[in-house]
Parts: sequence; structure tokens; C-alpha cells
Amino acid sequence: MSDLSKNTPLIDFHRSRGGRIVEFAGWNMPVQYAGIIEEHKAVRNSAGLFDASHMGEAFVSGSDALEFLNYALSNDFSGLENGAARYGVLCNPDGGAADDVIVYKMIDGTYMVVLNASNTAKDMRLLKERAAGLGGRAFNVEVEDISDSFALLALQGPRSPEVMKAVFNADFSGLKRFHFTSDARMIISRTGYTGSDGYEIFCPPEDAVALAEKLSACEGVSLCGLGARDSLRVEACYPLYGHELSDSITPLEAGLGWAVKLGKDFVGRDALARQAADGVKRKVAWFKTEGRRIPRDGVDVFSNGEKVGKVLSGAWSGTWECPIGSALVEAQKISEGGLYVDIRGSKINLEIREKTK
Amino acid sequence: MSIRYTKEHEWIKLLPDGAALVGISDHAQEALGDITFVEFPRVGEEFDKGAVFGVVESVKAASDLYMPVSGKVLDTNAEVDKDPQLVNTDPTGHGWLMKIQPRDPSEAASLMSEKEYLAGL
Repeated sequence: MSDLSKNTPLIDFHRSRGGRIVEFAGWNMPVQYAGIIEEHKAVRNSAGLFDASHMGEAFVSGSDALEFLNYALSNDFSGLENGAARYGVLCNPDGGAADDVIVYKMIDGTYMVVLNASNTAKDMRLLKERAAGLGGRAFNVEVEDISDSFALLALQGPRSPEVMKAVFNADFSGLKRFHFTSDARMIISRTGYTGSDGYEIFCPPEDAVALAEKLSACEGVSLCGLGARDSLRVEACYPLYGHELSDSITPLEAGLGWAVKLGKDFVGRDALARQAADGVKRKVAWFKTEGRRIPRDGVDVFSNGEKVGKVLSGAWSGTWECPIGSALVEAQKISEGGLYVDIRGSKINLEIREKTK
Repeated sequence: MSIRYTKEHEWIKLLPDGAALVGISDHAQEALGDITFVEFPRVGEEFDKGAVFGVVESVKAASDLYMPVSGKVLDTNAEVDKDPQLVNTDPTGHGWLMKIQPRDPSEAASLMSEKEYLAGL
């Protein structure tokens, strides 16, 4: 692992509890504790605790904050109420994705935008440029990098509400999905990236260890790493920047049309409107396979001997006990079916899954 | 004879009848994580020392398996084929991968002892 990589406030906590540390997006993070499959199952059946402190946070405030977000991001945040969160894509002018983000509305004119760790520096630059008018419109808004002000813990799984109650001595079961509550120190949000019920807790870095200790001490809570985070999100058909969504894969190709509002002006809008009008030629498809061999990132996808796409993510489903993944495939071929990959001479059929969302 | 290791993290154990069991080390299974699949060679196939005889796949990656010594495949572990995670739970015992007939039994003697292998990790 690189000495130049950054540490979250929980690095010693991870090490002392047997987390296997790897470098990810410039951070030293645990890839697993007990094992990826076991952690995956813990989240689906009980509860799992993840360190997501590497994620970036931007604070966006000012009288034009809403107009700015609507211009800088693909989704429309107009109807977003205080204490609610919404997904959006930060697009490049050509329609490709620079990142995907979640916008939290604190109060009118004040938002927090949560960014992927690997993109935080780039996103901050893009957001500041767009605020300053480099995209053609200037806004009365301030964009501030507050990533160092927060640690982020994700408690995920069906047992999460009762664990939260035990630790905070307060009932968060009534908090609706994609809503949050906050006080002077913390934000508690009913969000996550696993496909299971759960919460994300933004807290001051100095509180993180004590909180992680309390949460992980509760019955039924397993410590989880990035490996399970990945297999869970693939199982839930959630895109990950750099795989299903990237500079060269637009949100429309990624199946995120629901978060792209072409009826308003935003960076990338014209390119995406053209793509929508011409028809999306290739799409991200989510698959499962029989057998035990995981099709890995970069493997070619075939149909009748013809190369029609590439695998973007491959993982093991702890729920169905089979390989799962995603691929970017010519749109027409997805509906025709008969897609397969070749792993060292073995033909493996891809069973296309209906996206859960 | 006791267990011998290669720097590619395979082990070999000579059996009293002159055959030998081959598998991967505890360190290797630990590094690979949960193992989901093992691609075995065919019984009867012959390989030279250092040749790729199979592949082990985990939740994280696929890794080639290398012959610790030259020899012929006598059997592969059906239990591991059914439950690949046996390699995680008991890599040097029930998680053996194949049984071979070494071409030259003295070849194994030149490999690392467990102590030497562990010291080199």
C-alpha cells in the first residue's frame, strides 16, 4: 500500500479488527474483514458496518444554489424538500459522466453534495468552474470542499433500525428512504449503496472511532469492506463510476434516464438530448450466470460469434450463490438475448436481469 | 516427507506410495479471498515443472496454478469442485487440488520447507 494514500479516521480501527487494507482511489481502505461473501450475507440478512469516509462532500450555498445545482447536474432538484436527498449525474459537456452524486437539501439555499472519493478533486474543480460561469452562466453561489469535516459510516441491512435505536437511544425507523435528519454535529440519512435498508451517518472525524465501536458492538452487526460493498451494489444494479458510468458511458446508456431531466438547461443536456432523439445505441445490462466463474471487467461479450460488448463489473452474488455483473452491450442485442462470454474456452451464457430500480 | 512449497505459493506433499498431493498455501488462499471456482486439469494430463495446470478463481481475481514439480495428473479433488471454499478453510488438508505422479521424486526435495516458505513471505 502506498504511503501517499490517505487514511480515514478509522484506519487503526480497521487494522485492529483484522480488516485487510488495500489502496482504493487514493485511500487506504479495508477490502474485507471475515470474507466478502460472509459480509455480503450479513448485510442482506442482518446488518453490516462500512467506512465510507473516503467519499467527498461539497457544501453549496447561496441565493442561486438551486439554479446552480439544476445547471451543474442532470437531475432536477426544484421539488426537493428540506431534509431530503436526490441522486444526480455530473455530466461533461459531451454528455459523458464526470461523476454521480447525491444532493442533500439542508435548508433553502443550502445543500451538501456527496461525491465519489476517486473524483472529489475533479468534481470540486468542475463545480467551482460552473459556479463561476465558465459554462456560460454565472451563479451567486459558494462551493466549498468540506470533505475533511466529515467521517461517514454506513450501517446497512434489515437490522439497521434496531441497531440505530440501541446506539442513539432514538428511533430512526420513521425516517423515509432518501430523507435525513441533522443536528449541530451529525447528519443521519436513510440512504446507502447496497440495495438493503440502512443509514449513513456523517459525523465529525473525532467522533468516528467511538461511533464505529458502538455500532459494531451491537448484536448482528458485521464489519464490512469494499469487496462486499461492490458485490452488494452489483446485485442491486447500482452503477459505480468508472464501471457502469464514466466519461465514455453517458447516464442514458447507464440506464439512468430517470435522473436526466432534458426539459431544463444543464451541462451535457444538448448532447444527451441528441442521444435520446437518435436512440441509445449501447446500454448497460445487468446479468447473472450459471456456474461459478465470474466474468471479469474487460471480458468481451458475444452474440452468435460476433463481439457485441464488454463486461464492466463482475462479482459473486452472496444471495443467489452465482456470478453476477454488468456489461455494455449493443442495445439491440440485449433484447435479442443469446449473449455470452468466453472464459478460457468455456462459453458462459449471460442471463439478463431486470433492473431492480 | 513433509510439505514443500514453491515461491508461487503451491505446496506438494509426497505420499507413501510415491504419488503426491498438490494445493495452494494458506497465504495464497488468504490473499485470494473467498474461492468460487477451480479449473482442474484432466486426469492423465502431464505437465512440466512451472507449467500452468489450472486456475483458481476467487471473488476478487482469477489466478493461474503452477506445477511444483513435473508429473502426471492421477486425480483431482471432487470435494473442492463441489465446494471450492474448502480451499479457504483447509488449504493444506481437505482443500488439496490434485494428486500427481511426480516424474522425479527428488525434484520436490529442492523446494522450500514450510519454515523457509513462511520466512520468505
